Amino acid sequence: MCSGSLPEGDAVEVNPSLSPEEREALNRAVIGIAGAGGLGSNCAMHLVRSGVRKLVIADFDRVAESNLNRQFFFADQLGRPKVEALGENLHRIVPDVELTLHDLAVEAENAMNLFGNCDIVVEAFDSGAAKQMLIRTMLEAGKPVIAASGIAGWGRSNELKLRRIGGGKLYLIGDAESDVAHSPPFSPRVGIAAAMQANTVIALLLGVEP
Amino acid sequence: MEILWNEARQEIADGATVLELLAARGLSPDAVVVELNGEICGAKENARILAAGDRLNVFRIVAGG
Repeated sequence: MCSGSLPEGDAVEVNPSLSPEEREALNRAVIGIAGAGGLGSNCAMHLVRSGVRKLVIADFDRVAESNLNRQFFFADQLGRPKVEALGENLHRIVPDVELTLHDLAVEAENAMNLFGNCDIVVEAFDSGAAKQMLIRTMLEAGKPVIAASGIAGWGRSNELKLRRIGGGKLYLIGDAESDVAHSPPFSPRVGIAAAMQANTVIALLLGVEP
Repeated sequence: MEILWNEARQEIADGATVLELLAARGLSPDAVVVELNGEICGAKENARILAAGDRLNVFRIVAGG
């Protein structure tokens, strides 16, 4: 069996093609991820691979077998707190990524305590009520939020859209129709939406068209 | 009078509010994000009487993550 080796001093540079200005913009940003399920775990992975180094991640849940169809966890992590397992996986990509992990439920009362220092917050919850709670709380605080709605089922890739709402206060990704009440969530559509959330965060940080 | 509902022309009754239009379509205000003339609506805006030419965008927030 082969084993890899880390570069000297754990300094992993995953995107050598970034300009110094782009690198600085991504390194400096603090991104909040509310929920570490299918959206949050995959979005966090994309952000870290893109050069974001400071994440605040909150989720109360444990890794379950049913999560492995789409979430960025592994079978040997079953039963572990999601934020802890996700932190471990992100550190395996970039060892010196700075993670603030909260193993708790995000509620209207604590959301700003958790994400108050974040530049942008990614809404990555499962339930519609939790999504609304986070969107409302962040909008009231004037914090940009990147949310997802309508990502269940298979196919219909072209219906997964990015909508810029309220002059850019809210970005909403998905088809705004496909509810998990009617069809389960699967890796491809959830993964597309999570990647679109990360792509939107990066675009906002770099000042390019989201 | 006429408004735009998700970019489609729609005839509505004079004096109608966002809440009434949502209710007529079986949508709870808790299950949607509403944008009126480019601004996101809170409870106050949802109760406002619409004017001809208003641009209303309604996005459903459904479960899944």
